Amino acid sequence: MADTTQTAPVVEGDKPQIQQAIQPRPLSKFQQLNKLYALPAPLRTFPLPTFVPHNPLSLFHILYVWVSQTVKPQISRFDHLYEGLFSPETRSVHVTDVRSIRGLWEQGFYGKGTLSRSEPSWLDREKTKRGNKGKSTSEDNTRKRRAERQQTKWERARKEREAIDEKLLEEAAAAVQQREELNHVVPVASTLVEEVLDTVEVKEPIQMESKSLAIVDEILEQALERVESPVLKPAKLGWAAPVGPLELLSLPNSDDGLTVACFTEDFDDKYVKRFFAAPVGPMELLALPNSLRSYEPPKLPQHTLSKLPDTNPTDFPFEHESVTLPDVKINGNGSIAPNALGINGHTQPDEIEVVGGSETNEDTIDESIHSDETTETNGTPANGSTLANSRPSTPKVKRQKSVRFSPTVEKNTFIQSEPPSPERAVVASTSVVEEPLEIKNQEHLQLTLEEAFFLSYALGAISIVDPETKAPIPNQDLFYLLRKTSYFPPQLNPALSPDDPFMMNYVVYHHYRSLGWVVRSGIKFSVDYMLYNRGPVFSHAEFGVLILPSYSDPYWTSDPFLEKLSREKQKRTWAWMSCINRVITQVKKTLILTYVDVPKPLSVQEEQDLGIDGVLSRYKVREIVMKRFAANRMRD
Amino acid sequence: MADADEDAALRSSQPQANEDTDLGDEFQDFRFLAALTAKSGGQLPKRGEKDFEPHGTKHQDGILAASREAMHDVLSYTRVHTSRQYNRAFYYGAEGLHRDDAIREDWRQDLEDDHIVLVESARGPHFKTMGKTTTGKRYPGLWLLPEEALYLVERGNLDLWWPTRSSYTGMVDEEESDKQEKPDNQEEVDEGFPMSFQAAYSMLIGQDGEKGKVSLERYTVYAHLKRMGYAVSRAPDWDLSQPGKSQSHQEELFSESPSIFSWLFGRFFTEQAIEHAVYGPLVKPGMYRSYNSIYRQVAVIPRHKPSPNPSAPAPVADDSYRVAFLLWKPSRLPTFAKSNPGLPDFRVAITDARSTHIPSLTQITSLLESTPWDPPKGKEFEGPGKINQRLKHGWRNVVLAVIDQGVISYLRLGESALGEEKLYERFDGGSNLGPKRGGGAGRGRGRGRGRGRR
Amino acid sequence: MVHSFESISEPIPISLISGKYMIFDISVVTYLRRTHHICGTLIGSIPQNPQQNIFSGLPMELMPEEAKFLVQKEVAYIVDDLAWHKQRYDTLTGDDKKKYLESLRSAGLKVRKAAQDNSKKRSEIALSRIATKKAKEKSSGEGSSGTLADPPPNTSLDDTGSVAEDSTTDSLFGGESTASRASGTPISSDKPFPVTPTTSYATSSLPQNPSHQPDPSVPLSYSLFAHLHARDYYIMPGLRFGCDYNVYPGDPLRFHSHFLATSFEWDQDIPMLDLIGGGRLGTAVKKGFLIGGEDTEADTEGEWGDNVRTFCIEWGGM
Repeated sequence: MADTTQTAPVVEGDKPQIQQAIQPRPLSKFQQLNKLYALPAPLRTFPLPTFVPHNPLSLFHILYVWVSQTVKPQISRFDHLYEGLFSPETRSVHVTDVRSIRGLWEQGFYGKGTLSRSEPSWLDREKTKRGNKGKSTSEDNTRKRRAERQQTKWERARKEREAIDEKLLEEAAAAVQQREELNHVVPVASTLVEEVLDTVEVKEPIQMESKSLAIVDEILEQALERVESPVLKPAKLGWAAPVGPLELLSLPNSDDGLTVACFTEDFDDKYVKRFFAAPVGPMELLALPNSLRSYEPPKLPQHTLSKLPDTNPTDFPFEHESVTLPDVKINGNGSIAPNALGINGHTQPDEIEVVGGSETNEDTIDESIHSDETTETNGTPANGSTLANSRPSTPKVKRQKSVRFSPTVEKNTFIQSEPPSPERAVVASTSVVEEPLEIKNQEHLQLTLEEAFFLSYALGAISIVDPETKAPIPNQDLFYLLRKTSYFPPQLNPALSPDDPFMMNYVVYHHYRSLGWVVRSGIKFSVDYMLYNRGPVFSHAEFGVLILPSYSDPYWTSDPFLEKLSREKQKRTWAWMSCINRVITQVKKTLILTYVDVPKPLSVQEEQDLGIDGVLSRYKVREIVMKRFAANRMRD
Repeated sequence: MADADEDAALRSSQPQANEDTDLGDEFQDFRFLAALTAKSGGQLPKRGEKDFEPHGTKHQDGILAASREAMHDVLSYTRVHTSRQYNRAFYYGAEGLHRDDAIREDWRQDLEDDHIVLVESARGPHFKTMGKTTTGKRYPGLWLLPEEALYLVERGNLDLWWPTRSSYTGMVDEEESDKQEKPDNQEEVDEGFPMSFQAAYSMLIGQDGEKGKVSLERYTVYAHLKRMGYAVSRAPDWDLSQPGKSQSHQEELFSESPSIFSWLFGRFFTEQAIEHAVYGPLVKPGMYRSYNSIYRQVAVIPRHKPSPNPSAPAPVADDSYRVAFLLWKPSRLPTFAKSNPGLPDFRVAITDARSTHIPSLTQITSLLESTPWDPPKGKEFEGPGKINQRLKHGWRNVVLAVIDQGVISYLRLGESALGEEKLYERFDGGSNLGPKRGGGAGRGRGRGRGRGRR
Repeated sequence: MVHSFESISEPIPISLISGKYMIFDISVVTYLRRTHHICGTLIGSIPQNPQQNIFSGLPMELMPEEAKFLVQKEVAYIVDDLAWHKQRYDTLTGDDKKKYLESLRSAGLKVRKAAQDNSKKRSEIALSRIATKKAKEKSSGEGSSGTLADPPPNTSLDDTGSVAEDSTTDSLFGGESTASRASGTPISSDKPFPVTPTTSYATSSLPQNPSHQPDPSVPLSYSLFAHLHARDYYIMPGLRFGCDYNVYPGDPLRFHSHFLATSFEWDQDIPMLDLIGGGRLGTAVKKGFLIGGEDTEADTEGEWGDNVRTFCIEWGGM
């Protein structure tokens, strides 16, 4: 390998020509991506041209390149290092200049992903939003689809509820009839008949009520769930949903409490009270009592019930007098305005949308599957199919991932420019009409500690700056700084433990990076890392990595205290393992249990003598692939 | 487009058909058991037949009552032996009349200690895969292990008796009348009496390692696999009270010289180490012609090298992380022979979810090393496009049945080694192409295995 | 439908075999389910249909939590089954033994008679079975379509029917089929069929609490179990869904579960990843991921599980 560093010349002549040859043809989206994400790491290479046997000229070409590189050496590292600011508060390294953000992103370092998920495109989207120019962004589409889906779900829930109500009524009526037949006492029978008649009259309005209330109830329930509300309703409370047989038996479908009484009891408790009492906006949510035990449902104003029947069938009673649901608006075609979805305690609805905007329609597929599943809870299959039909057909981004790369695309290593510039990024993102809008780009890249250290220590591609002194932090200091910072809460003066969070994470991160995998945080999938072949724009992650500590070194069993300590650290339950494995299986990935064998601790002096590479080389990494084994499908 | 689509949890078009969902996940409605027996091919209703929650209709209550009724009726069944293939057996375990006291020695040769149920006359297809016949005697008897006997009793194929001293001899001696008095009247021979299903459980279920018994965890897994049609037999490492025996390293075949590295990590870099600056960067400044040369400088953490013959094998586990059963697929049964079963298709270890934690590295290494070397070889693993398949298959593998109160989850554990596949080698050689492209011309060297790092 | 479970009298014996709690009597199984919301797990084969894992049969294994709950409520007591059987079988002689054998004999004769009648009426039964099947299809069709039909008629299998059906059950068993098993002529024409009784003792005949067994030892999650059970939930083991308990709003025969419940100690640190995993899994399978724990400092006057707090976590899917 030494030879490569010594020799030098550049291919100046050849490369641009190829580029020009390609330029006139409009690049496919895929080619654009390929070009954009050309470098597998923030380093360039300068290979010699290929020797083509039947073309003697190529030999001269090679010679020329070799000579010119020797005369004028190139450096694989970029002329200007990327820059990052160490941030102890967020336990990450902030990258704020556009060049660094774009460059790092395109060369496989994605950070924690704060505002954007697929690309750092927050600013573009923000401009689109404010300027209201151009088409709606994919996020908007997703949002709309979600709202529609939500509406469909509510509609279905309402229908189900109606069917049940109808059934209850019918059974009640049947019971009455039965009793009528058995019971020849005239007065009793006649009152019952009257009650039945009541039922018939009241039926219509009551349906209306349940219809609208069910919807509101849905909204509220969702809002409540989002804030991790105690969903279990203690049975003692009068308005708890009837869950067990005992409550069910006591439900008024036997002989007394028929008709209206039945519904007031059922509905005003279960729906109306919550309808009026439940909090909607963020502020109310914050003010929620922490425990249901301390929660007193307010008294239901008796008059509301009598008013409801008057409601026009096409009106939703949200607009009805005191019933104000701050962010909830229902527009004409029945889809809920986006803000309605924002009731989850965030103060910045924008942020939610940005984070939540998933732009591919795979999400849609997923959701429609979900809704198909939902029909199992009694919905008719028709629901699912209507939904599928009504789904807007948007281009399927996922498909593109399976497209084969065109071999005619320029070779990555020939790119002479510095890392791709921001302008090029625009090509790949949604077409945006540049408006002279003054929007401050609030997006920055937060590199995880492992990413930052790998960039700095392994590749030497970033310079990490101390927030106080504004001076670059040398790797030696950075190593200990990050190890200290990795504890939560941060430890002021921790003993250097060989299994501190940073070391455990970094060893694994470095291991996979050094093999060429693109490593991203796996927090969304409840694992430590996801492994991508080349990067998330090209293919889904194939593997989820779970870091498990191992203490096989005799040191860890050398005394009872250490033995107990290390045993505790290795203890994880099967329920937990099963959960993670199931999550990973659900997203069609494979779980790699990555055991890190922890060496015995060293003193600071010993560590310094070894150097960082020496310290790292004391760790050992073992991989165990875990999959569900479908015993009944392996029979043949 | 990054991970947005990856959130699409169920990307397949048939969410219910993917391997994540099992009919076993749900408690099935016994009203549909009849559907299984029906000629229709045993279609069960889809998951959606159940309700979300009780809603107080009599209709719903009625269905529930019917389901309970159906369950009650199905499980009220009494095992009556109506078949011509009636099998009676006697229990000679530690709780009753002990085998070695009751049975002549030449009738119990070559038996394991756990062969404690003697089948009078073994009829029927089950004995093709179960039981052990004593050899070389005039009256060979068929002996069952506790799990085999209990399984057959549970199926209704075995009438298990509590013996007396004259039980078995009584029958056989009809022909060996020269030694004993032939009884005048069969009625008078005291052959003992039938044991109940409950009694069979209480006698045959015990702790792991207890003689003549099987633990409930192991039995449950055994029966579960048998019901699927597998041939199941005990593995060499069955007995937890004994040190493990099966170190299946194929020393003759692969006589690589053992490396000096520890048992855990096999061989590491054999070429000379690269000199690094103490505080980096690992990639020294300068010009590089290939990513290969860049990434080689970054490799500082030892990588695992799977070996058919680990130089220093892990100690054999003394706990449940051991192979308990060997499995042969049902499709192999037609040619299956107890005496010469051939290599098993799977090896199953069993652990109790409530009393054990996930295995430590030592436990898992030891478990895997007790299984044969099974590298990703063959057509389906060849080529640079098969990296993931190779890594997922691994170099050794074992099935782990994790059991929680009778509910079993099967996991496949594979010894993998991502260090065997150096992705960065694809970064050079022309275009930096996608993983699925299959590699450009002249780059078909995706398999790093066995290749030196030069 | 009059069933024997209506005559069950508490307390009920629970079989303790090698540290596991089991029930062998179907009447008790049904009774516990109906009356106490205790489902256990059926772990055995179904002799009528022994080559499948979709339905399981007796015995029913109880979680230690369930056993402890039943013992605490004085619904049940625990019998050391091995000791009981050893003692019983070692001393089963003379008249007792005769009586036992005679009872099996008469049961076997009864089945034989039924089988003979059955074969006579074979054709009739075949016809009527087709009829019942049709009726069944009709009623179940109505049930699933959510129409307002009356509860479907009793769809239970009658006992003789299931015995006769034995011949078809092995067909799933590939090469090991025993086609001649049930339909063929039995051993000889006048002897009783041999019978394997399911249980060893009648639920009510055992002396109450013969030898005191210690209370089942339960995991820390017991208070969460008790808490949920006291709120009328049905609880099943949770490993398949990566949790401690799979929690149903009603009998699992009829309902999907609502919650995946995992217990934590009151002051225990819960790793973020665990919450994400649980929330994500729960949402994907349309269940709520529920965490709960007991405030051990709080007043302990009430029932078990009174001081438990629970939270439900949903994955936002963003």
